Amino acid sequence: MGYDRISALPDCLRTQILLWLPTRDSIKTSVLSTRWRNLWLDVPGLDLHSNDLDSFSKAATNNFGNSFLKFNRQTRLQKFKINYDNYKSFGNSSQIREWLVTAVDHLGVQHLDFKDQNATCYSCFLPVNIYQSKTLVSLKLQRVVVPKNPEFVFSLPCLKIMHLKKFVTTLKIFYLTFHPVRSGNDDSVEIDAPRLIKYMSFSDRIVVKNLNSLLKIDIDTDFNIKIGGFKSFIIIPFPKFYNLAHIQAAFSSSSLSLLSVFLESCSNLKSLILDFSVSTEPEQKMDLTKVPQCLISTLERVEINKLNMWEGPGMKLATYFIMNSAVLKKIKVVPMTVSGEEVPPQHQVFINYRGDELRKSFLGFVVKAMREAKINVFTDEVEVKGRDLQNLFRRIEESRVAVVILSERYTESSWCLDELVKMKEQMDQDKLVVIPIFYRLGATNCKRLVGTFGDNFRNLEREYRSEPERIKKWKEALISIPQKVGLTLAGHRPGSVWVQWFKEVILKGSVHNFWTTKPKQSFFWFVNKLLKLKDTIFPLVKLRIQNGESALFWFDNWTPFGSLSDHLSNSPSRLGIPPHATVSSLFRNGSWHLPPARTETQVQLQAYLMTITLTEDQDYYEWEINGQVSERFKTGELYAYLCAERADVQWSKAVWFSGGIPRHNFHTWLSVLDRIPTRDRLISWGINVDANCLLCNSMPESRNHLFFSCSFSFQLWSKVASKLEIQPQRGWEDTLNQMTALHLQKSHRLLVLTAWQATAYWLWNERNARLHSNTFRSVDSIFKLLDRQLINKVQSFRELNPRRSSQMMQRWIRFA
Amino acid sequence: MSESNKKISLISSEGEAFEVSEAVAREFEIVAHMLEDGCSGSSIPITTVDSNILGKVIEYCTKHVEVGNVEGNSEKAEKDLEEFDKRFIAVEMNTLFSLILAANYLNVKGLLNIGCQKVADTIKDMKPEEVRSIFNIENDYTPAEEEVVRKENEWAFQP
Repeated sequence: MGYDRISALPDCLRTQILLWLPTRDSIKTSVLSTRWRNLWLDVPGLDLHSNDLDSFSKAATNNFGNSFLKFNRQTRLQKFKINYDNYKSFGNSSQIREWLVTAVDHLGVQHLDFKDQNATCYSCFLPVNIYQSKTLVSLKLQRVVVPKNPEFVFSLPCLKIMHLKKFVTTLKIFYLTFHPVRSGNDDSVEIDAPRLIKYMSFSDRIVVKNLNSLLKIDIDTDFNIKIGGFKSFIIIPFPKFYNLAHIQAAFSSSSLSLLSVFLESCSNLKSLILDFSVSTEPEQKMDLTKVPQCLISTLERVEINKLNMWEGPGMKLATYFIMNSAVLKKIKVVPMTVSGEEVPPQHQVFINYRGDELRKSFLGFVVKAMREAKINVFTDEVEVKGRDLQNLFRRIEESRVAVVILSERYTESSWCLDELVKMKEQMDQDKLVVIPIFYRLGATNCKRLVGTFGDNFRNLEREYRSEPERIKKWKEALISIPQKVGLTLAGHRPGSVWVQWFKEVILKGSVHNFWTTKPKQSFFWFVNKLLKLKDTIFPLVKLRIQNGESALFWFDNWTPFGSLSDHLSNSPSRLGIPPHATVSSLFRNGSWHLPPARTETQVQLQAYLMTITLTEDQDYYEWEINGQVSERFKTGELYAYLCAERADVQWSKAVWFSGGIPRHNFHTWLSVLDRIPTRDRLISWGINVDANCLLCNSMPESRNHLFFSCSFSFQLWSKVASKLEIQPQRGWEDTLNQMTALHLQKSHRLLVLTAWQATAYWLWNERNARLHSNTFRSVDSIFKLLDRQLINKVQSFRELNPRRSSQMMQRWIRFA
Repeated sequence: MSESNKKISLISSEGEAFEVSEAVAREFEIVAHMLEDGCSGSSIPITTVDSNILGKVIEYCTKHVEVGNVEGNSEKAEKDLEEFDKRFIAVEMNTLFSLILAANYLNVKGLLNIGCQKVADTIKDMKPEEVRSIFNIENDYTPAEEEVVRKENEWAFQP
């Protein structure tokens, strides 16, 4: 006697085995031993035959069905297979239908296989529920009558395999909706329904949607047709749909060549509706030279949905139809809209924010801009109901980038802070890039927890004082996240969020409104500043008239007379032209429609208008500054125009040079302008301070004294100058002239200037240290600091310019 | 390509190492999960499976990966694979159960399915007494108890 291995298997494996048995055999195992007593009830599937049902007494049926379907159903039902005989199985049909409904609606059955031995042609046995199951993965129906229902919709979002045999249908419209299935390359649909195919050929419409993931369609009909896969393109023989007049189908750019074959086969096609999508897979070129029969003789209407205007393949497709369809009456192209776009399951960018007002204003623009750039965005508004933090955490885990919009109200919410902590964790593991945006909030307010931001945080802290660990984490996150990456919201480039916002909110959607928008108290200071500048800017921004559709007749700068609103202002009437009229609205059928001129200026204008004709192109703006035309805005040019050109100051080259230390450059600049608060200046403002220099304590302090007539200063400067091989000067002007007129090798000059500025800076630094913190350093120790800093700076050139770095280094340490 | 060329050692309960390509190792869902979780070490111990069985499971997965990689002529390939599965699973009962347990542990769905199906085919159309003797199941019911169980779903036991 061997070992009983089967009973030793875990229950879940034994039920897996029983799943392969007809239910009748599975029940029989209950007598094997006590371990098998109730096992069959746990099997996640039913497999019944009419013969089984035949021998049911009504009570037995009830007993069996109830105990099976209600006993154990923690788990989902995987399979439900019934071989049913309408004639033999007397009065149990309602019972069986009930089971089917339970299986579909409550037990989430995945595979349904139903065969009716003797379907009566006009009664539909199956409950409608099965055609709308959310869980069905495979559906096999044989000899089944589908209810007569003209608008019946099959909606089986999970279905991968469908097998219909002798499918009796009286459907006029048959919709099959397949949702893209990620995993499978074994998805298949088989339709074996002669009557249905008849409908396909003779009647109204077939709608097949979302075939993106479908690899194979087999239509085994009277025609004996096979349509090969989307990938392999073995299309022999492709069916001829002589009577098919309307098609609605989804194609991706990778399956365009199939479309061409498809069109070939539909020689009487009248209308075509395409859902076009650009696939990441390599584009299959559609042969754009071939013109199928239907394009020449019958195709009247084409509609292309979800077309992305900016991508090549889609536009090519639209052009193809326009160029080649001889009898085309209407082509409709529906561009992709944000709402209609299918969002892939993974969110790429997670946006974390607080406050309704943010959602209505700023956030909207961020999300819109991102979606337009095809970035997938998640904001928690997507998951409003039953908001679950774990769920949001999962979203964060899925995301690669998180945007944190920190506003004053941010710290009102413990949710936000918990999310922030989660983001920090992900960020610390390098799984997430976090970009903070400070929305009407200073970065320091956030880091130091001051202002309303800080107050809100402290309120929260009080509320959650029982959880010090949580608060500690919040604080850590609040400190670390703004520090990691600093992004200011100041990108003024076209297409940036700020520009978008300015255009949509301030200018109400059109840049042309800039000229008529007036400053308001509710606007930001900066916005008003921009709006107030418009009179200054107006003569510089020329609108070049092309089609005149966007140009505002009264307000744009489109004629040599400037704004017509000003130019014609002495005429009392507005010429019957509304204030927001565009230029094109006055140009009809090749001539201008203006009231007769009554004044000299109006005559001038009309004379000018005679010289222009509108074209097909879009109007565009150009900058014209002092006769210089440029398409792009250049800050430098406008600045020069506004301030009138001024000569460069002589010393600029000694103060500003590339490769310097910015802080030192700035300090030197202040010194040159004599704007550092030396004691002589403080006294001149009437402040009562000691006049003596803090370094030598023997002479009054002034800029000229500090750099470098002071004995302490000069000691340091001499030390530095000797390394630089230059003659140290005591007078300020002398030194500045010397620095301005250095005729040295480039690397040497850079070293001298950097060292000079550093000397001045460290002297000022020492002076302040003595004044404010009473610390005194010797010339040597200051020199050491300066030496260290200079060496570091020189080292920093090593990557970019190793030769210069080495030359500078050699010169500096030569006499160490 | 570099990914599929990567070799991974699977170590059986006796400590014997089986070197397989990553694609084959990924057929074991448990291994695939480990790899995804960043267990990048090149050797993975599979302590509950002995060398004999592990070898067979690897044979099964290798064949399936190979066939999966070959393009075109899918119908013939599918038939071949079915044949292979049939021959592969035609083993004596002890090995069969070991394979099922291993497939369950390693989470190789295809193998688990054909294993279970094989067992089910053996049970199908057999009288309970016959099933007991095939699998060495000891009947621990008293005759009276057995009668009750049979009565409960009487219809199933009718010939």
